[in-house]
Amino acid sequence: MTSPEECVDPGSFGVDADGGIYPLPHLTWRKVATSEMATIRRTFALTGNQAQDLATLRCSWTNTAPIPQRVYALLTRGSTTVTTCPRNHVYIETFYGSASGAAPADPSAETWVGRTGNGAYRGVYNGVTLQANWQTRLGQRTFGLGASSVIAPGATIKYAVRLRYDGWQWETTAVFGGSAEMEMSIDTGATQIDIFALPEWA
Amino acid sequence: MSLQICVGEYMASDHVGTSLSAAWLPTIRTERFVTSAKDGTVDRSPDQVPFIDTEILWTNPDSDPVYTYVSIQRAPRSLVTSTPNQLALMDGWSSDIGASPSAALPVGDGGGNSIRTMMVRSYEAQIYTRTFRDYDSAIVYVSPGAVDPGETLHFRYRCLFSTPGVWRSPLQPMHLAYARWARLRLFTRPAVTGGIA
Repeated sequence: MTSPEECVDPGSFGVDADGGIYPLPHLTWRKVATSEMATIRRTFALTGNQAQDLATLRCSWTNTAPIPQRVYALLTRGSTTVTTCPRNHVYIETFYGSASGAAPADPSAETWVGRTGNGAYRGVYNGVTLQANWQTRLGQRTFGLGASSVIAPGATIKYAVRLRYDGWQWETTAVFGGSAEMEMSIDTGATQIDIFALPEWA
Repeated sequence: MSLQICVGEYMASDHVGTSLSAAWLPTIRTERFVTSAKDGTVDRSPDQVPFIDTEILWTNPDSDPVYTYVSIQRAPRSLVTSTPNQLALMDGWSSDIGASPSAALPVGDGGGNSIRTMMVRSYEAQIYTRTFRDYDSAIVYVSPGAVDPGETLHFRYRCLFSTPGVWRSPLQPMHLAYARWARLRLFTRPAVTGGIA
């Protein structure tokens, strides 16, 4: 057999220790980074507007290939459960942000990409709000985070995803029967960011 | 007759020619389309009942390792319930890789779609209600891991119906659950240096 060492394009092929040629890894589609956080469960007061950031998940990748890479990220959100009592509209929101360059600062997650929640209201009767406890669960789903980016050799891309709880209570009339068996709670489901890279031909 | 050259991973060379190997090419290896066996009127079900149950068995026929990637697409789903009963269509999946893999029986463990309304408390008289909820089709991607040459991936998916929590017989109840179908696709890509499963 012929040794290929001197007749292959070093931008496309490498030569291993045994003298065999192989295609360079950065010439195919691959997952290059992943980051995950567990579900978040919270219980909230039955009354009053409440909003809070629950957590931020980050994932980053530095291009170690000799050519630019086309990079995109997918977000996989676990099953999300929202339980509400009357006079409340509650939702879990997802925001993302990204930054890239030689040494990018950690991005804040400000672009709104997801929202799931519920609320039910049957009005006031004889001076008290009628009861309606409501629970919905949305299944697992994967979706993209913004546009793809071209990352130069040595450059880094960083993604951030923030989960936020927000609630809206528009009236405070007492609920018929009080607070017995009432619930305001969330279970966000797990969150995972995956970064993928493809070769970018300039 | 072509010159046979010395090749490393993800290449093939013989007297016919030299090429990239099949394992180098990102591709779809197999698909499954499965319909629900039990759509329609449902009743109290503390235990999970499979509506959809399918699996993929795939052996890597190539001479290089690949990373596997499964997309699970669920059909639009519909649930209709009456207070205070919860209906759930849970999704579960599991995987195993090896010479003779055996993936565990998938359980719902909280993932999936469900609805519940509680219009009266447990000690109050039942009332007539209907709650309708339709969920759009959705895809989730799963990464079972690397499969070496000759090894097999066993991937299982189930959609499970149950009625978690309290159950009361409503007035003129209406309980419907439609899982419809699921489509699984097995993608592979080369397990190259710098990539992850």
